[in-house]
Amino acid sequence: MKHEQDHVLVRHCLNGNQKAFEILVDRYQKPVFNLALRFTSDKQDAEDIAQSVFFKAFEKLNTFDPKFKFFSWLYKIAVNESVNFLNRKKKFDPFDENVHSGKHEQEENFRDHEMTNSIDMALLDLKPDYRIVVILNHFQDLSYREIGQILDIRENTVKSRLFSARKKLKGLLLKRGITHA
Amino acid sequence: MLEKRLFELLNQEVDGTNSAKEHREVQALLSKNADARRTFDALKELSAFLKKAPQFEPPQSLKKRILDSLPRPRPSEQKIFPLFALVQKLTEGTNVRYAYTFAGGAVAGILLFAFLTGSPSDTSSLVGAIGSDHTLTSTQAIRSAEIDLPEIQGTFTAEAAGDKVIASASLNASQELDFIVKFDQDKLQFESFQTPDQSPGALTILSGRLELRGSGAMVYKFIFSRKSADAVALNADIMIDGAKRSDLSLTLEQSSH
Repeated sequence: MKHEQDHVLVRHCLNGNQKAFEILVDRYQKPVFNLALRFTSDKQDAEDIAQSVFFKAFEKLNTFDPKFKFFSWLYKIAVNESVNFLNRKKKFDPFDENVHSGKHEQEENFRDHEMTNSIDMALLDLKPDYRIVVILNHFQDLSYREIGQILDIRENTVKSRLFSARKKLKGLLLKRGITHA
Repeated sequence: MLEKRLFELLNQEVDGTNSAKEHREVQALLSKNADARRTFDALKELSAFLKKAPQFEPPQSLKKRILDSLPRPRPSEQKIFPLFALVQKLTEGTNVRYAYTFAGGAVAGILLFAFLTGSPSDTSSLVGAIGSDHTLTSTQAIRSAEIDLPEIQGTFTAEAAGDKVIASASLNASQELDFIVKFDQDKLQFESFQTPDQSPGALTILSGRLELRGSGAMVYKFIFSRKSADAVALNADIMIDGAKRSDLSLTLEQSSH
């Protein structure tokens, strides 16, 4: 069962086989966690989001349309959860400047090196709409079309946001002293 | 300054998504336009730089946390189907109708017995739809708080039963609210929740907190397991439009288990 395709595993899950869902968790927990981590730049928040994503996916599995790719469907949930998470955080901690200002305290042992920090901080300075297209394109290797499906926007809008985001990101990295970006 | 279309073509070239015709157009542009070359090099560098960023391994505990949060099959699914399965297995090779007739008779007998003995907890352990809908036995302690606000009325209850703690929220809200249950993760592990199918509200499970958002009549039961015998506290905040309207705190004493 470990090597079954996603949609086959989904069918097994819907037939009550929870082990099949465990395989989907194994397969996708890393990209979902990384997506959330890039979006929030906080390990604990990323864990919370990842848990919530899989919980929602399990709950709504019967709404998954096998015509589409499972990961696109899962990423859609992940994007929504990440955005909702940030909105909630902003709502409940209106004075928490860290939510968007890029001043979030980093966990020393979790960060590989300065470059990662700079990227994360620069990403946090992007508007969420721009940040998410950069994450999906550059860190999840998704095509314009796949990103459009996940975000429910036209391919041209994806391109326009991505290209503007790159321009802005480049400036932000330069501002942070990263000259080779 | 490059015009928008050329900037798009350069981005697409970096992404490798240009058609052959567009690719030729970009090559021609790069050979004669220094501004375009600088932009193209900068985009390539940025792309390569982002590619170098590492992907992080999620903590090993994440998978367990995810799987632990998934709703468990209902008791009725766990208990009644094995009975049919057993009967079917026993009667393999004979007419399957007899198997179901036998199983149906057995279930009716059990229910009749349960009805006559008048013990709801006994019936719930056989068929989840009958009697109380959770299988926990012998509640040892109950704490309850009333909610009586202009926009929301209801109760928040915490029960201790064996190594489980059940928090129940029965809310009637005239406008959308966030009901946030907070718990100490060192003492409690969230296991699952139950809610009637028609109950409105959306639940978000986070570490150390459960966030229920919705309006109308909402009935939710949250089941936790104790990690230690220590006293445990369940706190709930009621938020409307981001502002706290009330907070509740229930404490269950040390468990004897």
